[in-house]
Amino acid sequence: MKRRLVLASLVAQLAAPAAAVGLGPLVKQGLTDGPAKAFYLTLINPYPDARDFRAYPTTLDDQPIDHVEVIPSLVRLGGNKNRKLIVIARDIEPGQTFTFRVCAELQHQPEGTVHARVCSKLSARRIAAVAQ
Amino acid sequence: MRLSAPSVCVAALCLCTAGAAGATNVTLSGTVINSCVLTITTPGTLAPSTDGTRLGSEETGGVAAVMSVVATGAAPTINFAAPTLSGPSGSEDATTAVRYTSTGGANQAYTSSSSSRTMTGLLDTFTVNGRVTHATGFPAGQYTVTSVATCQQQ
Repeated sequence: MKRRLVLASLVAQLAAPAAAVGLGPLVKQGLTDGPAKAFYLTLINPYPDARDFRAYPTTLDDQPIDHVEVIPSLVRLGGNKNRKLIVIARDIEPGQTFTFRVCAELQHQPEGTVHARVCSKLSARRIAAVAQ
Repeated sequence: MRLSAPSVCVAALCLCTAGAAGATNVTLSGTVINSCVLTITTPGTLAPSTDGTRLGSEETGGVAAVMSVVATGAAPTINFAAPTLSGPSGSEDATTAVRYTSTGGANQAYTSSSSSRTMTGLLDTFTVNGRVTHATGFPAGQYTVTSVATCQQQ
């Protein structure tokens, strides 16, 4: 019995993927009348067990952005579960369309040839101020 | 009690009518969001060539990385960033490249630049090979070729 349990555990470890992550929707846009706009994204854990993920904002050409916040940015998520992330873009000027990405990946990427990540493209447009 | 044939028919009709009057719809609904799940099932390993000038997953003892993609509700692009090499000092001027094929029809030759592939279906599985070339050989140590694969909508 003990030997079977050890064998089953070994098979489970071999079957677990080396790196995996899911995120959606991949594109989202919205209108705001103020300087901030919030979005919901769904982070997916494809592993059968709990893993730690991180989500972070970038520009379209993969540079860091400081006026976008992802809550929570570090997540421990149960096996085969998903959860919502809140993304808040701030300092949007009147009439501006602000487009950026939010990417999700494992907090600790395993050694290997390919590192996996999924990014959503978000676009917030602030309506222009009306002249009085 | 004995019932005549017409009485049985009327009783059956009443039951059916009563059933129809109480009918209701059973509704199950769900939403599909466009999402992408990347899973690397095999991380890949490098092995040296017999002449010592290459490290690669296609050399004897090497293993290609395997990555599956499930994309619902959209046709995203899988972008492979230019591969990077981490290794001991003395290997900085080595040439690093990756190539990949996929069950969905992708076929990228070895490249040191970034490349991309647009998904055409729900599922695809990529086989990714890495290669490092250094004409004067490699100092002893641990080498890792990495390409960041990003699933995104253009």
